[in-house]
Amino acid sequence: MYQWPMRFFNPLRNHIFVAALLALILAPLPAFAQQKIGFVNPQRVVNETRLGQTAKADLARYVQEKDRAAKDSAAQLAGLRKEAEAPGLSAQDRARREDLLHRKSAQHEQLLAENLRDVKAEEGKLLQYVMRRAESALEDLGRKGGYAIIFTDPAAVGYVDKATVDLTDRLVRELDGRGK
Amino acid sequence: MRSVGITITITMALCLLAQAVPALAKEPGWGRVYTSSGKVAVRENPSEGALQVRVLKAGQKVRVDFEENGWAAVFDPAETVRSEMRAHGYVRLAELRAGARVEPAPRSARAEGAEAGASDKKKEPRKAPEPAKAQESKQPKDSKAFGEIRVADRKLVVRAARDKDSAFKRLLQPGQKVRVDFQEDGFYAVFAPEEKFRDLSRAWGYGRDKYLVLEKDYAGEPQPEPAAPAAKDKDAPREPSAKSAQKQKRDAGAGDAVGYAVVDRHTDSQRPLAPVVLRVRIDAPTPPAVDALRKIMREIWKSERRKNEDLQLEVLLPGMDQDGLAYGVARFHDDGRIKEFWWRDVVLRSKR
Repeated sequence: MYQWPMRFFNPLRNHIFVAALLALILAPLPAFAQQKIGFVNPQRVVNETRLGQTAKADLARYVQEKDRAAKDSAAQLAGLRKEAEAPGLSAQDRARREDLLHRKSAQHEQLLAENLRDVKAEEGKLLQYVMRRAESALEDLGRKGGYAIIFTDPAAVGYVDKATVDLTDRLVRELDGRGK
Repeated sequence: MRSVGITITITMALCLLAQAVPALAKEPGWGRVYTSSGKVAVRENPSEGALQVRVLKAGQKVRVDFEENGWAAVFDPAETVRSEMRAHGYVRLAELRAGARVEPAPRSARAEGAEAGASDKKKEPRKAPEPAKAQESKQPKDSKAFGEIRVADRKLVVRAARDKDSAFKRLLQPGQKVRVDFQEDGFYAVFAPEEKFRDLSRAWGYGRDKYLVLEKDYAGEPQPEPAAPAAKDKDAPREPSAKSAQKQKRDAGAGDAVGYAVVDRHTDSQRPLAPVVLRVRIDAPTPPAVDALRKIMREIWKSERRKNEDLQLEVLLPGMDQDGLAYGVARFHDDGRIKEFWWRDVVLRSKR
């Protein structure tokens, strides 16, 4: 019967073998570590960074400007409505005023629709601007932390372990640090 | 299109300071000079919701004109050019008139010399005029005396509707009397002076209300109409050319000049009604104050607008990406008033 030579059971050699085996088993772990996945919530980046808060203030100012125009238009419309409904007008005069009112009403509706569209567009521009500024910070964060992928779309992520995967707080600190 | 890199010097808007300059060597022949009796808010546009750009203090003199819907444009008392573009802003006439002193404008250019310097001495309180009676004078029940008689203060087109693009009906000569009524949307319905019936179907058409002045306010001569290449419509407001505006502003405050370079001019081909977007970079080492930026943008708009185009102006600061977000954005009414204006501090924060 074949027996393993005793030299294989030499305690020293045995340790070397186990170490080598462990090394083989554990070798892929650093590679796994490099494949970490992270997540950043863009809405929180906007809400919690100074850059994002400035963008929000800009947007609020823009909305205010649009509201002012809408209010002016509404006031004009109300004035025309009052005139069109005034008593004692001839049929022809009333028809003219109603026509004017209808045209103004259509213009007002168009203005409101345009305002809504413009505000959305501005919001998109500002958000994009903030996120572009965040991108370089995000790259640094990913490189230093060994993240292969960092998601920024909340809809694409079903569950996030905030303690290990959510990098939003770190990104906020990083961005605010750069803004100083 | 002007090539990129052409830099035109404009001035920053420090006309406010010009009030302190005793430049009343020649009394302009238009508007009224009020002496404010208390604090009166001056706004960017004739609207309660418009930005307050300054406050008149008690005792401060201003020239007032372009009355419309209870609002009027205010100017430096020494302002010689009757153009809304040169207004400091707008005030509610009721606010200004409350306890204010008013000094009558001279009737003719000839009288200017005689009254030069005298206006300051007229300190006796006078009863404030009530120029806003145009609206109050609608008297539908009295067909014999409706509306009021006004005078065209320049060649003025009467159009088929309350729209500057509507059909031409007739041309009023400077000084021509007409009866006006139905003031709406910045237009009067214009009738023959002898018209007895307050009936829109009998109107000649519609004329811009701001150019139809009360007889007593008509200076006797057409208002100066400097060459304005943008003036397609004869009734469009005439503005001084950019060059002359530049010169005047330089005189008012040399050293406050801000240069700019046109970076881009484009239109959105997908949206036929979209405005022409002009991007300029201004040579301002630090971002101008909001009021100054507004003035700068108005000056640039005046210089760069072509024909009657709807020109949106976007201002970049030095060091900003020419394709990135602009710092200041403004849209304008046809007469040069700012329709919309906003700015983005976020681009400053990330510049640091």
